[in-house]
Amino acid sequence: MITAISWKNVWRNKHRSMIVIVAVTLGTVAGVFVAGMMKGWSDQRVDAAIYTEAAHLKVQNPEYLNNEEITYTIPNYNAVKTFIENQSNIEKYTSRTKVVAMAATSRGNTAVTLKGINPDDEKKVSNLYEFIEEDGGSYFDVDYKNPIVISDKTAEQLRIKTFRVTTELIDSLKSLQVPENVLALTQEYEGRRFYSKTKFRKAFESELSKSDARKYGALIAELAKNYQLKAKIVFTFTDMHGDLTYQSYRVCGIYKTSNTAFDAMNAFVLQDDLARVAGFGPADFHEIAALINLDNSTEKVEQLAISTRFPEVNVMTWREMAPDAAMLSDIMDIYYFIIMSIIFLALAFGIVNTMLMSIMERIKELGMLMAIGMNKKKVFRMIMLETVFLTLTGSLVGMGLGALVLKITNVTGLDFSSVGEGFEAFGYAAIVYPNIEWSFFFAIIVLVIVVGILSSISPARKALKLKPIDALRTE
Amino acid sequence: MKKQIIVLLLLFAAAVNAQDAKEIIKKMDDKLQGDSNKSEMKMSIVRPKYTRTIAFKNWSLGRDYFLTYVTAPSKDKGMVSMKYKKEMWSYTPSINRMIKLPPSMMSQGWMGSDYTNDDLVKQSSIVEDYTHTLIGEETVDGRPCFKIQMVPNPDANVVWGKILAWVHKEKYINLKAEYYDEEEFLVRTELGKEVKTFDGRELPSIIEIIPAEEPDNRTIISIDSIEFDVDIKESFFSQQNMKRVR
Repeated sequence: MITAISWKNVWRNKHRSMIVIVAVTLGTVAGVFVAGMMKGWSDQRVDAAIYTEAAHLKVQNPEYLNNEEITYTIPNYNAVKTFIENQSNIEKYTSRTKVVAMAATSRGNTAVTLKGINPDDEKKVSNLYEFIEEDGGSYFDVDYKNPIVISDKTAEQLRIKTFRVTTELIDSLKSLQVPENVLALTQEYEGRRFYSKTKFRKAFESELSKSDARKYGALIAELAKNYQLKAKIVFTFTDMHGDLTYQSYRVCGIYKTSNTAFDAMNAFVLQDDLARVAGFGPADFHEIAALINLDNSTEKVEQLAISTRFPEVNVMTWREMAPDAAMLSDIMDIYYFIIMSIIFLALAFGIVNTMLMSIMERIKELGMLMAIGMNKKKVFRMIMLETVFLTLTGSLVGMGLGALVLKITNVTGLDFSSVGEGFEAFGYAAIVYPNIEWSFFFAIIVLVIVVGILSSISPARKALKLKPIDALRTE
Repeated sequence: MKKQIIVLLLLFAAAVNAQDAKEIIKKMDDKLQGDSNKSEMKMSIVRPKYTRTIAFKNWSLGRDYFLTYVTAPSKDKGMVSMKYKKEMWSYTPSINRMIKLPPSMMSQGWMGSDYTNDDLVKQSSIVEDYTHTLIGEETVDGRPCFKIQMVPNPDANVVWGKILAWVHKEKYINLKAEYYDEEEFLVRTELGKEVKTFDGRELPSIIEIIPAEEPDNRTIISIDSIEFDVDIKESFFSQQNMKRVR
């Protein structure tokens, strides 16, 4: 009875109620969207941290953590490996060798960590092979000796990534029907090389009219990107005996993940190639990375199992290896409640205002209701329900719209590439795929009801203070 | 039959040719190196905004040992770099520190020049690590030269795609060398100028290194004196001596 009256009351002044409902709707859409974006972002970071960079668990020599010396291989490797193999909850694992080396080409040099891997095992644990750039070769699918997979960032530092005009570029521009003068200029640039996109664009666009530069500059620069596959890189490092050694590799693939810091440090080569020159024996490995079955176990349990059995090795979970990602995944739930709470706090003032107005308008009516015997409890409940209905309607519509927006953007992705470099330096993807769990919507409903109840207190008190006699006499 | 003979002759000629080119480079290399030598040089590092000149003394024995003592400017005076087989050591007297250069420092320019530490350590490979071909004869500054193309062997740990060297026909002096990357773009040019006689050997007294893409930058090495086949023992190249040498 009271519920029905409340619901009808909401729609007595449609105009006023709709304003509040629309405000709540927009607030909810914004909140859901922002939370979805944050969630998508942090999920992507956590996914990258586990499935691309660190895996769930990593076994290392504890000394290696203090000093990345080539001789600090995993003690008792074969026993550790067998133990890991027999752990029923460890699904996949791979062993890697690691060498900190100086890379040099004829034009540039940089320091990288060479990781000696076995591609078949590696693919099970790390999805890095999915990040090979479109025109960046392949993941060890070549027939030449000493192949190496390096990152886009390393390629840039070693000047293996260049910007140049090729005949294919001119052909593709022709098919895109680029104006004659732009095409002619492009042809003039054939044979020249630039080491950065900015330099290429600066030189190229200075010779174009402003409108042409804006139209075609970025496009041509993107098409002009060129990786020099098969380029030779000479690495210098200290081998197992402490001697300085040299080894050349030829680029077979270029990868690019969303974490520039990771990219800059890691290059991948075949285990056998590295072992031959560095002098690794069959049981010399620097790390074992493992993925566990999360349905039956947690990384903490497995960590404990290995480190109790082998106290001489160090076992780290991804939470220790990528603490930023771990913190994000923990803090995110709280984080979007803070966002939602702030939005609803602001909305609450609007709701209180509307409800007060609605009470003031109905003083006579309220007096009448009380006069014919409606007790204070019922009056309070009526007003409270009215407020909750008002907010709940808005937020339900808002959640529907918000979910729809998330569904769409989850497929298309939100592209922040124009400012993405900054994000990627921190390890966050430039393209975000917003995502949210259903439990978040239930939490919003609870939050909305609480907000509704709280903001009904002031209007309800106002109504309860009325004396039926006075109320009836007001005009 | 006739054809076969011609083919054989051609092959033979090619073989002789290759042998010749390698011989030339080897002679050139030996001439510069000697069994042991002691020299004084100046190196000017020319950059668009400044020029820095460093003077130093060198001692070397065979391919494995090499020691450099900086005499000027006074700020750097006393700094010693030593190559000991495959290692490179450095001593800085102002902080009394002796370090073995880690791989990370090997690709840095030596004393800020266009020469890298790596160039110093690996300098012997010019004969063994390349396939040499005589591709013609040209004149450099009016002097007749062999033009020799050096392509690194597939397994050689060399960053260059190829090197072109112009070697003086009679004196076996390197008057010009061009270093190319793997895509055949010029990376840097080395010029040998002002041939003088040092201890009975004729050598260019000025070596200029010009990076192709920054023509305003260059490194100029001028040789003040060289003595060949001096009496130095292996024991000269020790950490103790790095602190003592003057």
